[in-house]
Amino acid sequence: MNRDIVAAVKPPRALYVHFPYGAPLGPAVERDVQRAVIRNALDVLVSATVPGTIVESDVEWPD
Amino acid sequence: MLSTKLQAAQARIRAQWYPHFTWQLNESAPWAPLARPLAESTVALLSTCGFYRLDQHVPFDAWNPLGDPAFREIHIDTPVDRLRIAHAHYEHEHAEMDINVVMPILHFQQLAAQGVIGRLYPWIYSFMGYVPEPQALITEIAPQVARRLAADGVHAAFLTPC
Repeated sequence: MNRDIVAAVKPPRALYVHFPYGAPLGPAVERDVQRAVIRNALDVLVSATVPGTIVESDVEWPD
Repeated sequence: MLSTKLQAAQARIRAQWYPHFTWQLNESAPWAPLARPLAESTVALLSTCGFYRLDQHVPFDAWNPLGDPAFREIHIDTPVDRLRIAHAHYEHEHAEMDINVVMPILHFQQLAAQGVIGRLYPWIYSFMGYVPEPQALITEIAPQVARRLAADGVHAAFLTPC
């Protein structure tokens, strides 16, 4: 997802991942990567206090 | 003021799909704090990846230059082989191989079983994310879904975009 789009849409809170369109939570069947992204996003849900918060994920696309 | 990337995307969409497309730039973010601990919260899944149920739904009008602002309700127990994608604006490879890439049902069922979340709401709201004229989506359709979720006691929505 393009970070500029997130900044323009302004959802209440967002986790930005450096993943291609069509794989927002990670590659197919890579459960650990998917879980890590989801955990990151739930952390943002719980911890964000400012409307429009965007947190950049450090989860990497596996080689 | 559009960023360089958004300007380029706008030009591409105008050239290839819809000549009047203009990005909707929101001035502020809506906000509601999480009302209770996550472990006591009901979480709903939403997606803009174009999934629909082939034995119950009409597919999204994926190739329409004006997009399709409607949604499809998909139960979390729907057999995966009943689901298809109607969305012309992203590569489907990963989503077709593993639905959890865009609709993380398995993960959220596990999170509920582990007590990380209180409950997974049993209906997923699936949209098709190409909507170049979003007014009906903004003023009618999305509020309809929000009201439904609120009435059913949902505390948070997890949206995966495509």
